[in-house]
Amino acid sequence: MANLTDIFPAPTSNNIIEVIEGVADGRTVTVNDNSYTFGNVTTTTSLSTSFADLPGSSITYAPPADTKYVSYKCYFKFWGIDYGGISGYRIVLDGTVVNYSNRHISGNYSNGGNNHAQFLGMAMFVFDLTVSSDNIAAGQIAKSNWTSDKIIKVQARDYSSSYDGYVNYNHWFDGGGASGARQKDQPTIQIIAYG
Amino acid sequence: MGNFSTFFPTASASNLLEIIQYVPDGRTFQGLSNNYVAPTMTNYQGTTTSYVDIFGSNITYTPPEGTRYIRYEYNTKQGGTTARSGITHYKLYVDSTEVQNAYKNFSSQYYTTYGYAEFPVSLTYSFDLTAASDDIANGKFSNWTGAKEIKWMARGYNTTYDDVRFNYNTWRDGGGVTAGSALQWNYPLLTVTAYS
Repeated sequence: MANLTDIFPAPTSNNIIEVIEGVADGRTVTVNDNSYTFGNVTTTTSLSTSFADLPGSSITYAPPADTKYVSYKCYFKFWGIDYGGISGYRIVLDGTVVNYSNRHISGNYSNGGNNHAQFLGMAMFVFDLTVSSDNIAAGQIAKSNWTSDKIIKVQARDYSSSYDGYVNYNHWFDGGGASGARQKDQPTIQIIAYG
Repeated sequence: MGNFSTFFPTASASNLLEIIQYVPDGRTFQGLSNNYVAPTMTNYQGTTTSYVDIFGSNITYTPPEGTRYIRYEYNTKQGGTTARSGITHYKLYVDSTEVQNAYKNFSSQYYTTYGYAEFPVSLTYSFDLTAASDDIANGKFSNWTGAKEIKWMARGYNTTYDDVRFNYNTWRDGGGVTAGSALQWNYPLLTVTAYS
């Protein structure tokens, strides 16, 4: 016998359709019968002066029917190793840069060689799926054009070679240098689909 | 006459099961099936070179039935000393076992004299409750149905860099905050989210 709610479906009690979240340790998360495998960050990454993918930030995602907005957040660890370590971050949806996701972060400037600035970086954006035509650079994509998998990810770079930064890095542990499991810092990715 | 769903309540279509969230002011937060009593904070917290529990980060949490993933998030503030860059180490524990992959180290840029850096620190992790066997060092659990304590512990790098303070405000309105006043510290925020 079918459930009563199969015959008389009730509206959801909130506008959150689903939340996908995981640590970039290679895990697979299954939500609503769809599986999502996160990247597996096993080492730290030095940024260069060209944009490159931030390891562990990528997720392949197709929003459920009736999704109006998709929130993407990537929490990662930053270390500025030269001066303030000025570095830039941007979100890319299926190969197109989302312009207003650009942000630069840096520590305070120091020319004394003691580059200690290590803090959490956050790349985030909310895509608007209620539009009638796409403008991905502005974060707008019609739901009818996002019915299959698209890759969302973060790209990062240094300001210049004089202001180098690292990501996914813990430099210290228990009063000394960090190594192994404590040195690499695996980003956390979160997707929320709103109806 | 009530709504149909008043008499025949249905499960949410979302995979979000519950959110527990509080500041440590002694309140009781009523979850779906359990109540959670927040501790009462009365002052900021300092660090030494030994690990101590970060006040307000502890919660003994029982996930609701059907929970597959738990997001644990503790938002605090680090800084407010003359400890140069204030290098601070953070370890995550579940029932006294360290989740090694959650380890973090935060610090500001170095300065010998003006230790002005005060900044928010978000300590988050996502637990996977669908694993075939427990692997707590990697945040994976096979049978988390009862109460487990989650908390962060912290310490300073060494005596040159310790005495970092949590939830401490040095300045206010263009001047220094009066020592011992209620304005000298602020509440952290704890959030636990259960997903199916």
